[in-house]
Amino acid sequence: MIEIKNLRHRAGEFKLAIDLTIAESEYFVLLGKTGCGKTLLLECLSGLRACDRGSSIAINGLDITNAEPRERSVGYVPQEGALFTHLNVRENIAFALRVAHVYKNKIDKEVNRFAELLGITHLLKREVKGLSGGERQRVALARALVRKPSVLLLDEPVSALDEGTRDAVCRELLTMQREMKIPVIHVCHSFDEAAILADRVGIMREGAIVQRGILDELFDRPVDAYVAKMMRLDNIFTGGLSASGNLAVNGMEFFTKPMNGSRTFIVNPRLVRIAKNGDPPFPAGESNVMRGTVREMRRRGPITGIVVEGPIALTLYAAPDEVDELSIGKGAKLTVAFPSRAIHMLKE
Amino acid sequence: MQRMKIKSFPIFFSIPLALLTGAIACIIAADVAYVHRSDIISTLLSKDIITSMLLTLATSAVTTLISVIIAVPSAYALSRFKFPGAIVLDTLIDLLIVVPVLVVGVSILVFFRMGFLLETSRFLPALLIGKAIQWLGDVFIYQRAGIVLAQFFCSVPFAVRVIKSTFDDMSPRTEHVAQTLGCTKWQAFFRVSLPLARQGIFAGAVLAWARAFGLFGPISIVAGAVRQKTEVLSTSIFLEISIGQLETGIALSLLMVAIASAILLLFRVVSGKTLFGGAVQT
Repeated sequence: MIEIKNLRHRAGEFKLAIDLTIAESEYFVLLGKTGCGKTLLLECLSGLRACDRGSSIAINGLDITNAEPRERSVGYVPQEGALFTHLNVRENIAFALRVAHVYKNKIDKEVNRFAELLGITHLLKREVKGLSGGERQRVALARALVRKPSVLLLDEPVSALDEGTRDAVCRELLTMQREMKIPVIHVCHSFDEAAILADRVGIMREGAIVQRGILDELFDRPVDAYVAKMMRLDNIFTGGLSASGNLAVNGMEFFTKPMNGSRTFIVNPRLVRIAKNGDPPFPAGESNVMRGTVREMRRRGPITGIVVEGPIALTLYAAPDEVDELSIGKGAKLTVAFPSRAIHMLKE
Repeated sequence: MQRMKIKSFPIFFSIPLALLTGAIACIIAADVAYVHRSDIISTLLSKDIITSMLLTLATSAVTTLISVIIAVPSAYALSRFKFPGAIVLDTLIDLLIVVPVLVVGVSILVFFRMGFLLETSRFLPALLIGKAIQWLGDVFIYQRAGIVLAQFFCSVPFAVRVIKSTFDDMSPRTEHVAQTLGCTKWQAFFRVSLPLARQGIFAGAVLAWARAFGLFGPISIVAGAVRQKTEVLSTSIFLEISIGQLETGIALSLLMVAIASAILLLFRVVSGKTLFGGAVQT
């Protein structure tokens, strides 16, 4: 378990301010754009940067705020792995054990064990320079894990990999984490990685975590447009007021009113339905209905994202069966509807 | 009949290269053509020249060692640490590359001359500093140690430059990771950064050696050119030519060319790289 209380760090004009608790065996993914302080946070946690006075970091109840990096029992895998190119793969993985003067037999045993866990046994004699991106990341992971850290910090470990390799490494990360039962903080800017890996997700902006929770919570109820965009939500609108006091965008009225002065809202694409035979699928008076033309269709794994252009451009998700059944294609005319509960107001 | 296609693009770039390397080869060939084999043999068997050659090899080796010992931490500090005045220190090191080497020799001589001036001071600390400088002057001026001192000032900036660029190219992340894997900062430096920088350090050492090996002006100013005492190969060439012994001077020049070529070839074979980092063309 990691408890981060009042962690403060200043780097020039940039301020980091984090409070976060991560449970034992939890895989926590921290999402944020470049420059939001994700790497800085990992460097503070691993002891490579000193925290300001008043900060507190504890791992399994042990205060490590002012401990040296080598005393923290933290496994750190930076971007691109930062492998030691003067050593071969076996020597890289064995590095921490050699520094700790572990017996050679034990080193060999541990190196073989972690190489097997990450599927890199065949690489052990290879030089680092000839490895592919995925292989480098696996070696970097094995090197961090061989020391049996109490927590694993991963800085965009798969962002430089192609999609296929990324998914494979992500699966291995999960297998490894479930087997070792250690908490992981994984920082990245990819929603896909969070969707595959995260038990819980945090969204980081300008040195602070603006929202945290399970992925569905953040997807359905983002606090602001930044979080909504990180969740890859397209249906973000800022409206004006209609005659009845409801919000309206481009003449389309929504059955909702401004909240705390905010007129920015999302329409949850999971709750938008195609109205078959023109009939709104929700009870009258609750249905927000729009007629439009299909502008774009994006296949996202088992679902298809359909962008319908009417007074607003509205994205909805449909199953392939439904797309086939209704013969939906680009340019098709559709009536779509969503209930009022699909509308979620955002902070401005 | 098929017309032969002339590849103008590689030819355009190859002509200056051919002219340059041809010119270098011509001036060396002229030396070889001018001198008789008997001159080379008699030169190589001369006691004065053997002493001069050994002194050149010994002093340049010692200078290289001292230069590397000083250059590695200096380059690391300039590359890794942010501190006020770093740019001034960096410029000072570059200054030694830019100013004529004779200025370096004259400045060293003037510095030791300060010892005499300070020694007459009534202010005790100045007097003591003057005595210390004068004592150092006795150690270096017109002594073999003076050869190393002159060579060091002219060689070390080259070593610092090359080694610093090596550290600049290395991400500090590797050291950071080493620390999280159980290393102290010292261990991270010695187990990771130093081995990773070994080729750059080797290149810096060879550059420092090359500079020390061929140095003439500052050595003759600081250490003089006393036969069998402070005479190095470059001063031997000057002395021989100044007394009209052109053949001996050319034979010595060829000796220096041979030694320098051997060292540079050895470096390329061992490191697989050129002095400035490019891969060796085979």
